[in-house]
Amino acid sequence: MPPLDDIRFIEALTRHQPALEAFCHANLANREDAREVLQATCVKLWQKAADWNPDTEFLPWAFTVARFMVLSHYRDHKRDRLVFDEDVIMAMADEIEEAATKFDDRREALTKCLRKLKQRQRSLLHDHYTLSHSLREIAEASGRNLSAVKMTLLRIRQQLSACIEREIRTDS
Amino acid sequence: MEEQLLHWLHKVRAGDSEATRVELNELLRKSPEARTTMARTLVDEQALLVCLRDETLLSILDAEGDGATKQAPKISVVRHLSRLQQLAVALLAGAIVGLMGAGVVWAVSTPKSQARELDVANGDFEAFIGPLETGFPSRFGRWGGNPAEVTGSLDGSRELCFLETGNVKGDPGALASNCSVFQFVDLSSIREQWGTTTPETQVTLNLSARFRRESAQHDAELSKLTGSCRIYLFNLKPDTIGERWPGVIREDGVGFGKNVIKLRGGEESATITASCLLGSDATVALVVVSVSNGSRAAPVKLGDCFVDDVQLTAIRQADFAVRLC
Repeated sequence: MPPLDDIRFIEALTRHQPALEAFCHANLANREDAREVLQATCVKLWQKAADWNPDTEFLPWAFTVARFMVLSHYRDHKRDRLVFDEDVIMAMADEIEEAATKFDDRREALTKCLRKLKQRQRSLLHDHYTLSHSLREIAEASGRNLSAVKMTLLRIRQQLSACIEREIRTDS
Repeated sequence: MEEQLLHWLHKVRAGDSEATRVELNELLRKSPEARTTMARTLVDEQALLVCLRDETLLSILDAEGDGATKQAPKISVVRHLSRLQQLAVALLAGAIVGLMGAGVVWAVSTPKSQARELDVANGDFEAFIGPLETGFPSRFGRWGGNPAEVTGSLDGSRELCFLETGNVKGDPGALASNCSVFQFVDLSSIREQWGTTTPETQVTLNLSARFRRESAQHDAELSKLTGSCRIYLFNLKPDTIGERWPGVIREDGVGFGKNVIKLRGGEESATITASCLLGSDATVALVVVSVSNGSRAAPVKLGDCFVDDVQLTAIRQADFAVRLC
């Protein structure tokens, strides 16, 4: 049987992995890059597991390691076109950490907000985010104008964002 | 701020513009508010990905679970049948197998029906908030009609509120029973795609809309309110239809479908669908959603009746190469 600290580490990593992925996504604004960095971060965290004191919070420590991995990824892929510049990633560090810490609450609120969407809006989200269809493909398949599809998606995102804020305010 | 950031983010991801990427980064360097909004937006985006992924997994598991639970009772039922019942079941099963055999031949030889959604512009009323244009629309892709406005609800979604009955073409004070909004839909793309000019091709147009009525003080006064969706087909230009409305329906209409629902205050919203066959000569569909007070009278204020999710779907029926009856 593994030692108690190892069990606590595995529990913490499993529980907070979605927030860590959100942290990576917020730094890189790209799903594939975020997944790659999350994997590397989990390996690094496992290697450094002995450094974590189970009596302290897991996420701040894990975010520090994840930030190091994000920057390392950035330097390895500098020639690729990434969304944010390195200094901007550094500048956003506090804001990203704060938002990612609240990931579980925001996700819970979002679940309620998604139920309020119309079927057509949900279909668009599903096609774009789950099936990874580009907006151009969606526009062509539905016979709609590309800018109209873009505008619809933008509106849904804003609607969800406002709904999440309301839900969180209500809960608190 | 959020709208601008999302717009730029989308452009950068699509690889459309390095200038936009530079501009986005510049804004994030300078503005703490932009950084906070961007961080929150991206965390929410990840939450969205996770929620949608979870929903998809759950729906797959539910489907598999249904399949499993449907299997179980059949076994226990057969186990408790008497011999006579078993014989009857065997005969019935034989008949079913025979019918299924014919069905298989029929299904194999029959192409599937196809559905395609036609573009009702702003059919979900999400594009803007405010009043629609009054008067009959004169071109494709615009709502117009009696006084109505798009309103936003507390949960952020939008719907169309019918404000007042009236005569869409005549004197504002004339007698009328409906508050209607109209939109022309061009059928040329579906005709080109599906070749609806051949007599073998049967295409049905389904117009659906979701209605609801809020509870209001004048519920008792307007006890006969109904919501309806109607579809008219023509082989004319939109402006001609508008000029000759409503006589043009009788004189030159080539297709019509209607469905009606009674609207009671406070009840759950409900979707109705009107259908009509797309004739070989129809080039224009006029879709209409209305609320009616049941009798012609001076204009009546409404304000508590709403419609949403107006959709027009074309369904091509299979051409029957082999028919077994």
